[in-house]
Amino acid sequence: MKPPKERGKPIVPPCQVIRIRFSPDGKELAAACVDGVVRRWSVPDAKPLTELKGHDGWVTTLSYSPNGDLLSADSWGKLVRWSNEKVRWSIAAHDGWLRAVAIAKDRIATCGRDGYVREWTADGKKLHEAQFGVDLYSLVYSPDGVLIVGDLFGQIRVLDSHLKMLRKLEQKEFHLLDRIQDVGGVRCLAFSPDGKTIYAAGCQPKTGGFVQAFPLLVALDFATGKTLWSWKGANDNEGIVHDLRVFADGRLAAVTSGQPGQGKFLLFEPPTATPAFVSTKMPNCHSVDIHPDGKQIATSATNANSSGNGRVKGKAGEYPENSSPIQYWDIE
Amino acid sequence: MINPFCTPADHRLNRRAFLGAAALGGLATPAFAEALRKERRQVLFVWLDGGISQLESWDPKPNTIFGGPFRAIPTSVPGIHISELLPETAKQMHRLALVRSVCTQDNSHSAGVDRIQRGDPKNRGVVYPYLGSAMARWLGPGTSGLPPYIWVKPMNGGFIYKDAGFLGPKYGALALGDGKPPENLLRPAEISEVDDAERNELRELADKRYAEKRKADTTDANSYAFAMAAQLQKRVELFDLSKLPEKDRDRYGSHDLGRHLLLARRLLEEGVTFVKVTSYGWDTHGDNFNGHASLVPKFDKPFAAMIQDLADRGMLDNVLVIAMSEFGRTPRINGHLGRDHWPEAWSVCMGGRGIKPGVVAGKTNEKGTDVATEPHDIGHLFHTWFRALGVDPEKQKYYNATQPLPIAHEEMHPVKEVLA
Amino acid sequence: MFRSLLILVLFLFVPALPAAEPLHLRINRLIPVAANPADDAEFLRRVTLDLAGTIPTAEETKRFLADRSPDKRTKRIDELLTAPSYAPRMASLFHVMWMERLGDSPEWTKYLTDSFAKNKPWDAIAKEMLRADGTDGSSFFIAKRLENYGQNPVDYSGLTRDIGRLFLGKNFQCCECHDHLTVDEYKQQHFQGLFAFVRNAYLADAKAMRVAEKPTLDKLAFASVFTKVPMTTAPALPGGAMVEIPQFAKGDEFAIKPDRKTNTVGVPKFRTLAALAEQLPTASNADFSRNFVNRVWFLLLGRGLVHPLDLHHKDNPASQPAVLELLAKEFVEHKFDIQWLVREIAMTQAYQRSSLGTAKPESFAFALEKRLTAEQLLAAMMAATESKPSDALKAKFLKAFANQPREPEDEIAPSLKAALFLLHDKDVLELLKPKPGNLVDRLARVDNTEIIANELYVAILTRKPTADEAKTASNFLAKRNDRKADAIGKLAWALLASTEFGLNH
Repeated sequence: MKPPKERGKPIVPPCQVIRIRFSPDGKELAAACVDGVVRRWSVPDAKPLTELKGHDGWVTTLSYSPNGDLLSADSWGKLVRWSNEKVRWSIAAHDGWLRAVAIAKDRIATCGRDGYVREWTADGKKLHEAQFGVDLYSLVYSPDGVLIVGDLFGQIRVLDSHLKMLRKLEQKEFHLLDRIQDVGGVRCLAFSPDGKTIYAAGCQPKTGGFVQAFPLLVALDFATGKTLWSWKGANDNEGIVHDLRVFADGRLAAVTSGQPGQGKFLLFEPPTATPAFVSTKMPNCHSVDIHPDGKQIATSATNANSSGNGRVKGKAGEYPENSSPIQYWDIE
Repeated sequence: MINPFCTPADHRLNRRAFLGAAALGGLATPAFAEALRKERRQVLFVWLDGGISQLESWDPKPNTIFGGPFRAIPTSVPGIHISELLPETAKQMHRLALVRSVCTQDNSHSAGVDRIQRGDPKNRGVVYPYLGSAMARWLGPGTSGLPPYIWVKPMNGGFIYKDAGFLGPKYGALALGDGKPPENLLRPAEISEVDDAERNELRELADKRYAEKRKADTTDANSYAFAMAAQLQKRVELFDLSKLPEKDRDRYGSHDLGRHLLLARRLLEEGVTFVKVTSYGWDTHGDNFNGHASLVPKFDKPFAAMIQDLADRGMLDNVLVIAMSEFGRTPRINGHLGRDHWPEAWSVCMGGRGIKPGVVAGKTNEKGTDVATEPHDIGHLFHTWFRALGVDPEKQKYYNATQPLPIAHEEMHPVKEVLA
Repeated sequence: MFRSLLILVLFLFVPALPAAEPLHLRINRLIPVAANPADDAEFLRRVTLDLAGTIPTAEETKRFLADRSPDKRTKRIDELLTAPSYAPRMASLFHVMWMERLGDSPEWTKYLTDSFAKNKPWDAIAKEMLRADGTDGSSFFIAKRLENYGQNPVDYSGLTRDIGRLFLGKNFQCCECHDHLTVDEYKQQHFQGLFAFVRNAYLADAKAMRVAEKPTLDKLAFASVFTKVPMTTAPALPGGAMVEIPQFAKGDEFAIKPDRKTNTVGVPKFRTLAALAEQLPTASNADFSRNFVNRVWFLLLGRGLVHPLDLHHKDNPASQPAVLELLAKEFVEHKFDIQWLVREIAMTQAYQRSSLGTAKPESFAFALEKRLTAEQLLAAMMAATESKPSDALKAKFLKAFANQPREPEDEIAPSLKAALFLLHDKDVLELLKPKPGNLVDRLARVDNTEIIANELYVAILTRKPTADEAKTASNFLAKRNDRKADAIGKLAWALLASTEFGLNH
């Protein structure tokens, strides 16, 4: 694989970004922001589009439905379906942090810190729910419509169409009880295009002066639950895989943010466990997405000098805010 | 003249005098000591080492740029909201007070942990005692027969003298590592109680004879150490975590902080003057929000249970409760989705003895980046705590040799809004 | 020219002093006489603990008490100074003083032991410790202080402070950020000048205790936190001239160039530690000699002439200024001869006074109680119980009786930890059970309870019991005839755990 090349200057949103996603037609890029706003830009000319407002806390996740509607969710539990920049519906889907949204042909699934997995109709009516009593970090539908959910303790539950648990894939390396803190979690879940492989990503935490972590990506055989291959970062300060996307041809794009290192943007060519491409140019990335044409990637990172103890001052003497520069990359 | 200032070695001149002069309490004047003995005054000091985020606990700023993902929830006191990560403590708010205007000086752990717990008046040149040692000094051991300053912490225990600073080792902490008893506490089976009494009687007689024509300092100090050893041995069951009631173990949680707070409750019930409970691992430079999502509830549940239990037992009239860290955490969210060290504007929770319940003192600005009211340094808090316990910093002084030293920053005053 | 003439003039006057009279006699005249000499037993225990690091055996005690010769104390001092126990005892004593429980190493122990065995002069030892480039363990003082401990950075302030405290008797800690607030003589320049000597030193190899230096090319910049006036200093002793920093062309600073590939540690042409070692331990540096004689006085008398030991300045003068000046001057004239100094102090009446009575400690009218190090306690307990030490037991004693790192062991501090150790430690209790050749076994074979009492006191406390003490012990034993060894063990334990045994009085 030829290494991807950065294209142009990054878009710099006015605040930090949790998620970025391309629309299915490839004409816009949306960003879930910590100020409760969904910001969008036209692709490729990066012209700002109407901001979508109405969320509380952080906008935590974004998913486009195949028809181009946007589903956004926030850390206070609200799930919103936008059609043509208008709220089609908005529901209180969870009590608190809604962590992930997945879309199947006829259903929408959500999970959150409240321990619930819920399924909704395309109109936002509740179909099923199940309580698992743990912080649920990630969920995804297989190409056949089977829902899997990842939690804080490194467990991946395979659910039936009524959200009953069919089986559990234990991935204990994703969790550590550090002193009294449960750390880690299956932060990202994805399927290979053929639906045979599950990709789970997050970190393997380690106790230090404070919690540190090796980024971790594990490929599991969906049928047997066996580990096919895995990649672990070399250092315990490389942090957490925050986002993982799958190309139509099966390649993977992942981003990490450090803890306390600087984080990376990585590309994989499964089943090779060594990354085919690594960039450290964009520090502390939190999201990545692949354009529907498969030729462009966007990554959201963090500005330089984002950390520091005590009263750090900005250029004008003000208390600074951080942001998440969004960079396009061309890839073959 | 020997200079009293800026001479860390000076205090050592006086250790023996302290050791010798004090019986168990070592109080300034007999009348004052007597006044204090009339009622028990105790402290529970919960230390969240590394720095709990004020924004994810006592001073949430929901829907602001630095506010993070969490909601604020109402509490049992109308108008006071705290983070949704503290649902149980929210129900106890009418028994607690918050100071949201804490503004301290040190943004590193090494300086912060020390300076905050010592309440260090500046430029005194002597090493001030930690709060626990200071209270051991001012409140004495009471009638519990147990050391006045017990520290329940994870990992290793031992006798932590350094906490006492210039007060001398006697006021140091007895640290129960993971709640376990100190080393060599248990008398080997081969020595019967009668044997033990016999040999100690002989030892005491030897010391008495040695001291007959000499100054008694050293023998007094030695006797004190053996007397404390004897007293502790009688209370071995106190250190047995397995003997804590099972129902309470569920209420407090099976993790370290839960178990250690429950042990602390038992020590307070027994009358220990100052119990410190330390929880490590709050230094969330990375992944702060998931970190606090896991950490804060593990503080919330046992802390709220403790407040309820102390209230049920009528002990909030005696026990001053303090929960704090060495600093708060930056409003700014860094690239690791963490928050860094922040002494500039943070919060401390307190309650019980001498504290006005259900109030908030001070506030921060809208984004939480500055204290918007009078800023309160650690000296203000020491003044507040001394007052709450009936120790008047205007009247009481430490004496380091002949040099009087203030017990709290002279230029500071208590946070009156939280004093009962 | 004028100055050298002046020195010459001063020099000419020196021989007029009565150099022939031993120093201790002159000191005796300077410290007012108190009619309370220690008795032979007290003297014997004290001097043996001080110079051999242990208590005398019961046999030694009996022999000494029975000796009628008038010079037996002098003979005892001289025996101890030439005994094989002298060098290890000095090594242990100075190790505790200089390292303050920061750590230990076999090479360092050997270096100290060899140095004291050869009676290496103090200026030579100091020079080697400060140069820190020896491979014989002498670098340990500096090297250990250049380690990171835990997550903390190297404590250069601590190293600077310790050089001031331990070599010059002056604690400049408060002068790091500003002139001392209350000691007028202590300036920020003093701290910073000393710091400039060590700031570029680093630990190149922690295991080998190899100290290396980065080149010092510029003066050190600093400013008082109060005045904020920017200042600079080259390496300089407190009150001394700044060392000139030689200038080299870029790339030419090293005598040995550092090379990562070959793991070669660079050696600059200008080594500030070498400069420090040249400048500090000299005959003309009054602080250097005063500090040392004051510390040896403290080690033997229990209190410094200047006290605290690291606070020499004009507002904290020596309690006996003439004694301090005399000691310092003569020490220099005797070319920093440590053994001579120890002998002269041990020969004074002040050293040989009784500890009975009370008086101001700084008068030295009575002997002051001294703390025993963990090492002395172990040795003394082994000697008393007639047992053999082990490494495991030594580790336990250190844990129970030594201070925390960085805390000087300069005062008596009984602790709960130590009490519990004496009460309950299995190995301590084992010492009190009859075993072939040990004290309890030996005495259990004796029938007469008075003899047993007498032997117990001689073996453990190096003295005969008083009539009351003998009676207590006899009665105790008489009531427990059926379990005599056990009763002897209890009596022995009570004496071992007593305040009297736990210190040097």
